[in-house]
Amino acid sequence: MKQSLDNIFRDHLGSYEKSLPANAWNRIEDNLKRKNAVRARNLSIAAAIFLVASFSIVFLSVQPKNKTTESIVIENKQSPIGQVPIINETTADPEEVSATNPSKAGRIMEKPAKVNSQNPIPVREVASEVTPVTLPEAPPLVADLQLQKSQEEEVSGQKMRSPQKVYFDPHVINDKYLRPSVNEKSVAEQTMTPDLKAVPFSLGQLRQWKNDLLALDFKPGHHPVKPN
Amino acid sequence: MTFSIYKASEDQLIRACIRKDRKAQKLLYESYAPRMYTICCRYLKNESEAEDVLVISFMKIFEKISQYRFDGSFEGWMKRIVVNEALGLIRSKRHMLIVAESEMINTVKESLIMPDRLEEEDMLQMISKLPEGYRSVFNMFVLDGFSHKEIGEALGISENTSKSQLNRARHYLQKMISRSDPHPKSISR
Repeated sequence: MKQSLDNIFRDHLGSYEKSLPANAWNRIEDNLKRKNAVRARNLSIAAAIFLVASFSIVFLSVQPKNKTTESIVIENKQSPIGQVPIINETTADPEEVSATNPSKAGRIMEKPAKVNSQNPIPVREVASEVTPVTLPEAPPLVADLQLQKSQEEEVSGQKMRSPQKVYFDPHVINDKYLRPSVNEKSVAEQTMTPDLKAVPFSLGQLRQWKNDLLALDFKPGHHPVKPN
Repeated sequence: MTFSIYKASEDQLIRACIRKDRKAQKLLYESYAPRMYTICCRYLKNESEAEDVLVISFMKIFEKISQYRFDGSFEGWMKRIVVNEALGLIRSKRHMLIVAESEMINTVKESLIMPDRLEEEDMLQMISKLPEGYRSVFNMFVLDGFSHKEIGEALGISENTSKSQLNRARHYLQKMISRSDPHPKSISR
């Protein structure tokens, strides 16, 4: 009995399809669109945050490296090979030093240190002047030897180290690039353009001629001075 | 042969829905929504509530369709989602009137009336007139193929309670059928 009742309902309703409400799909579609829009907005926000974070990380990681390389370059420029300059931090005003020795002043002015009068920072006792200290001689390395060699070459003028200085001879440049060739000269003669450097009269004479022309003074006997 | 073609087309449709193809989603809705809507109407008295459940269920289906593994019945997978959504709505809106009885109800000894002239709509009407607890258990056990253990877990009741609810539901329906049919065709057992 139970089974028959169950079977009747199962047979009738198992495959029964009720007519759908009209706007159900529209509601589903609207919800899907809204969800997609929200997802797209969240993705764009996440992408923007990621980009900003990555750029800031890259920027922060690159900046200190540049600073260290700059400081290394400055140090290399200041200290000659084999000599370590010792700067006396307790020396008097930088103005005084600059007056006596400008080369020293430049070095001291690089480190303007403010000393607190109440709690003075303990100062190391060092020599009163900038004195080059010669380091104990170590066995010369291959790199040092190469460096010395290159310095010698630089002094003798045979070889130039980087940054290379290029000297130009103005006469050579003029001859090569600026002075007109023979054909150009002939063209220039044809056009009859006067060479200002070759003209023997002065600027005052030229000005006078100009004034005469502007005044249109064509009276007989009054002519501009002809050049010789 | 026809089954394999049908299966292949269904798989293609599902894959297109995974790619969030709107046309495929609409096609899937049109092919399965009427049966799913019938399920919603069986569980819920109100048609507007059934429509709400249908919309929410299909939203969930389209969202979770990538989790379908292509190893079982896709319709069964969808049906589970729809039933769970319907039960969730019932749980959230009303307190289910489940009468727990320790002893099993005696089987109906009355003569069974076969509802030959009953239409599907009439049957749906009868089911909708059942009390909430009876209706859920009857739908789940008889029409959706859940076991008493699964029903108990889904509704938060014991297996015995589920069985008693089912017997009461049957008894209730039998009474309704006998009342509705003026010329019953009785079968004595």
